Amino acid sequence: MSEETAAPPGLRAAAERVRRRFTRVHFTTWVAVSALPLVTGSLLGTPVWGEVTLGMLMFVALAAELLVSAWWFDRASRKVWQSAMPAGHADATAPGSHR
Amino acid sequence: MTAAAAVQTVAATATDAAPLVAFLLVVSVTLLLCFLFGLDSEGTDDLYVAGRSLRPWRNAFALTGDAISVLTLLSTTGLVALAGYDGMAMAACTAGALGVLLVLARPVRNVGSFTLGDTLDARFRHRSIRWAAAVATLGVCLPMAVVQLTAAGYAAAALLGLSGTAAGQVCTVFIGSMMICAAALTGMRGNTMLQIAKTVTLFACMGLLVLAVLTRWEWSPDRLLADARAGSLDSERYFAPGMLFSSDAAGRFELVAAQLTIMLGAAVMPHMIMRVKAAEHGASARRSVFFAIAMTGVFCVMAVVLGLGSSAVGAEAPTSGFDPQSAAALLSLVNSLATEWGGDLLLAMTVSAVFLTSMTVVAALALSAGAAVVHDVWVQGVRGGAVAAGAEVKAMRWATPLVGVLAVTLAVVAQSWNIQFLTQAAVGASASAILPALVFALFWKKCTRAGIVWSVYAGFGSCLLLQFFGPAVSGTPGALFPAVDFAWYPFDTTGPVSIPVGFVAGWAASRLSSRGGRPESEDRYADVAARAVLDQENRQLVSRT
Repeated sequence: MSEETAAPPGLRAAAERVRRRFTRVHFTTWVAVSALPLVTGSLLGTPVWGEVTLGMLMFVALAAELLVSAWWFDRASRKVWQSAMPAGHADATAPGSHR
Repeated sequence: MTAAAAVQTVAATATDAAPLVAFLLVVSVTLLLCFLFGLDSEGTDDLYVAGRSLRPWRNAFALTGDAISVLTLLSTTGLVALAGYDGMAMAACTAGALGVLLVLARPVRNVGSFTLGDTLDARFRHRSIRWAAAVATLGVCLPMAVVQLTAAGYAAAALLGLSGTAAGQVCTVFIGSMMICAAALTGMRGNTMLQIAKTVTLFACMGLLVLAVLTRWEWSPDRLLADARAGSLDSERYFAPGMLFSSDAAGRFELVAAQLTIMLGAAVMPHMIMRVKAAEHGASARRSVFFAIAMTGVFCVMAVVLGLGSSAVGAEAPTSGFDPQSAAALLSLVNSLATEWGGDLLLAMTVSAVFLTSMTVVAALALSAGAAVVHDVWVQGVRGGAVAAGAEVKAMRWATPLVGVLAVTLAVVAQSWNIQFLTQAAVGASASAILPALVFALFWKKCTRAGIVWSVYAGFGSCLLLQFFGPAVSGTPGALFPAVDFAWYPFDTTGPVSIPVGFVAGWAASRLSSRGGRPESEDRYADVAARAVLDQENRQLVSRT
């Protein structure tokens, strides 16, 4: 492996930790919600607030989970990446900063 | 009223000139954009990935455009109108699928130059992977393009006030010709501009329709939901799972399987992979996917509201969620709202959005398929990379239209057939063949060349086999061949079997092929892993200090 392509020590491990955490949370949530009809049957169609059903509330929660976890992943990945840059270069090489 | 009758009604009433004027306007603006932004694509870098210059917001708009096909637009609304809860679940998966791409965005952008084949082959440098990547790309892109063109021709004919198979075929040829022009002239840079224009038009159109729906129901979600339930096929079960397939355990399992297949396959299609590679940095690729998730989420919410509105106005829901006539729901809603809201203007906007949506996605698919043929097969697979950039660009200028002509021909031939299952097949093939190969190539140190090749062929082959022997092809009234029955696989969705097959085949082939020694690709893994987390300029910076 050439010197040019070496990643700083710990960067790969930190990036992998962030990726695994997001994958675990995101996919566990989505698989669980997708599989709910298998165990709950028509319970998800139960009205909880006017015409709004349990299933609809679940989809709202799912959308919130998607947005929040995606935002967290983006932010955590950026932090990992910036911490690996040499002092004084992190901001200068941040995506979009030179534009 | 049947779905076909609903479309006939739309066709009978939509005879004003406004939709035609809107269409011609869209054609003019599209061609202008093609000429302005496409003809300066000279190098391969420019042609395939827009010079890797796209900033996050611009790429996010384009990525959203890539993610929202004409089927997403028409079928999602139709599915919500038809199946309530199940339709909402499918809509949610469309946005959730981009979560997969979020994880893959940075590595995919940084590893490999232009195509799916470049990414898969980065560690192994062998032509067998190029061929496998090309097979997967064509196997996903061609069926998707055919279904998109068929649906677009069908919807366009109805919106222009035409009816019948011949009208659909004429519209398909017209839209297909535009698509071929767009794909041949523009390359990735022009396609990006088209996708941005499409996303803006689509959101404006859908926003207006949502506004019209909410106003009609006096901004009362309760009233809208109550009327949607009342107008549905089964008001007791409308907001409970089980209307799309069946309410028994098998039906509910199929719903879960369909959702997970969309989740895993929709975002790793070859044209999405190429789009991610067009970002200016790895981080900007990741950020653009994040923005695209938010925008696609907004789109899905709007599609759900329109689906509910469609059911509420008594629009006849399609007989099957994957029926070509699922377009009927949105079209009937537009027809109903047009009497109160702007009349022709609303119809004209919808026509523009449908045209642009179909044309841009098919152009992106044609670009990916052309790139697979030229870059992966001819340049890298046959000539070992010994082709001048100019010759490759010239070959692309021919290959993309040829792929387009093939797709248009197939779409015209299949206009009256029930080929909506091809969408499931394409998404299933993407989840079964492309996702396992990408995950192994980017994240698994012990993966070998045989592992990549086998995960692609086994995943893709099992998907095709199960689809062919499933109820979508024979044995049911809505099948491709309803008169014969050779189906033995019980589900429409192949994902529950073919996705594990893709992963297991890749894992087993890697294990078996690496017996008796450390594979060379393992040494190259460190290089790929470093590229996955650091962009080129950052790697140089880190190594200097």
